[in-house]
Amino acid sequence: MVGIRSYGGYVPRFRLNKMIIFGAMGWLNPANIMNAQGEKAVANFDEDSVTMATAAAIDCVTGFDRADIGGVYFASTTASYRERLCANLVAGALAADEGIRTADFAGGLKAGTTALLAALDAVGAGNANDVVVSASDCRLGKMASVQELMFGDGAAAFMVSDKDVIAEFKGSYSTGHDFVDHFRGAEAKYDRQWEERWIRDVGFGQFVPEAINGLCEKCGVAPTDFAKIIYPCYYGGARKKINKTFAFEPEKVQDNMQAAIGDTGSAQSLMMLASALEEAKPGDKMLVVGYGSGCDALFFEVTDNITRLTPRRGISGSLAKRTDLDNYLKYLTWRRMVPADTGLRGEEQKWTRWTLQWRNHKMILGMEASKCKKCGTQQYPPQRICVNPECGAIDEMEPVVVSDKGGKIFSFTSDMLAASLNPPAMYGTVDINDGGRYVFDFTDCSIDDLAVGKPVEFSFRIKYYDAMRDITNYFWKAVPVAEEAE
Amino acid sequence: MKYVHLPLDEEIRSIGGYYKVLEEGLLDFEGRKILYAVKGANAETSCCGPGGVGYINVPGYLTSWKSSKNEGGLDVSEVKRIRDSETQKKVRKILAERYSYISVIDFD
Repeated sequence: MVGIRSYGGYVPRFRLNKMIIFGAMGWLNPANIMNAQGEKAVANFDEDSVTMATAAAIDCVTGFDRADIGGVYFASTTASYRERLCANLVAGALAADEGIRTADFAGGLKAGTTALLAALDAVGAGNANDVVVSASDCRLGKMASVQELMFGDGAAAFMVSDKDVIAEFKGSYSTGHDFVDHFRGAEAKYDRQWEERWIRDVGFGQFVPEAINGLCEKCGVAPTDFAKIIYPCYYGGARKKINKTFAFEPEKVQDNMQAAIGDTGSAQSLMMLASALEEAKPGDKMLVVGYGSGCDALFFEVTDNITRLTPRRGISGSLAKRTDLDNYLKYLTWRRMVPADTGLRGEEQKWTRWTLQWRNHKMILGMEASKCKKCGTQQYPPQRICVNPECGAIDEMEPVVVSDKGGKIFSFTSDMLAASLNPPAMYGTVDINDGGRYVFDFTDCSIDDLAVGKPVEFSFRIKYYDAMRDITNYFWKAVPVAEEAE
Repeated sequence: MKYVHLPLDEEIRSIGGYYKVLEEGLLDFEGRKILYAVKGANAETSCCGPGGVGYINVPGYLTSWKSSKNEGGLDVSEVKRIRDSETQKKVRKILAERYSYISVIDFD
């Protein structure tokens, strides 16, 4: 039986009330008030599609042995690199074995569901197992555009396997149409879209029903057989029409989270699927449609295993962990939509030594520490000589991943002089649980959240961006653990 | 005068586009309550390209709140129009401050 074994989700902590955007830019495009309800999830200044995909993937593998990961697929239309496989960054952060298949899926917004289908095909063919698929997007609309209000940031991930599946894959139906509703040229930063009427009536209005009908015919099921219906469409009127066409009961149609997160592009359908799985019951039939340059329609049936899945943060847990971003200009600055001066320190040249990066890539990406085989002492960064003065063993180390171990704050500071897009820069020393001490940036917090001895978890983030060479470098940061919604 | 409460955030379609009632509110003014509605109109099927506007419509002083229903089952309130231009000016100023992002405020 091939299907989904596990799922994970990620929504960035910051939420921007859309009326704040409209308040700033509505004078230029008054019609945007129609799209200004609710809020959009906004990636922090040190987040992008890669970091969000990683966060979702980490959530997905909760309770599983990462050594068993048999492949990593990354889907996004906003990858940080055009040449450099971002799936390897996600796989590296997961500390997955390097003898696996990794691939990036991009281009159209259905890249997320297409990546999931590719994993299902690979597992079904016996070529891989426990393949992690993570989709994430962080799309930009120009200031005062509809897209600026419509788009949100987020990610979802799934482990595809042939054992212990929580949702059995029953079949799929795909279409490919060179239907250009949204597009970005090779050099474009911002999304462009054609007329809404056309997108609504032809795009969603025809292609989504075409995919649903194709799947139902192929799999011998009726649209009304599904307990959960998932399809992305941000036009309320078009959604109503599609629901009416298929006689979908409103409570069975999955919320598209437009008012809470926004349209997350290639991750949209998969985030809705991850959210639906949080409440799914054994026997539920699920219809998932990915849309964009055609459609993928997938049919899953939930199994008893879902009741035994290790609890995870999921979409709902991420949504609960929120804080308001009450400053539109901060959003523009973080997304590099307006030039900002971070002072002379911000102009410092930071060379990326790719040789050094490669030599230490497991330490940097996977947060791999060393553990002495003789005395068990764990140390980060990894060492050849055991730091235990009672031991001192040489070259007796085994690797150990510590990114999921968390730690405790040993010291911290708040620095208004350091160049940062979110001053003050906060950093300090963290004692990693089970051993090792290192200097980390703190993120997703304010100075009031920091205290000596406070527990932290580690989060894969952008360490710095080299604008001159267009290099995004990643490392782990420490996030104070917050148990409740802020 | 009767005021029919349309469902919030629902598209009311017409030729060339649609409008929505986004929010309804009651403004305390000189010991009386004034009913107003924040609305948006979008002409997204016009041949000359899309466009739209956000605006506030002020039906008037509230005389009864959702005191009956119309034939479609929608709540109906009773209002008295505000005709005095000085009062309109004062109300417009208050609403313009409260909804600084909306430039059009009209009275029934």
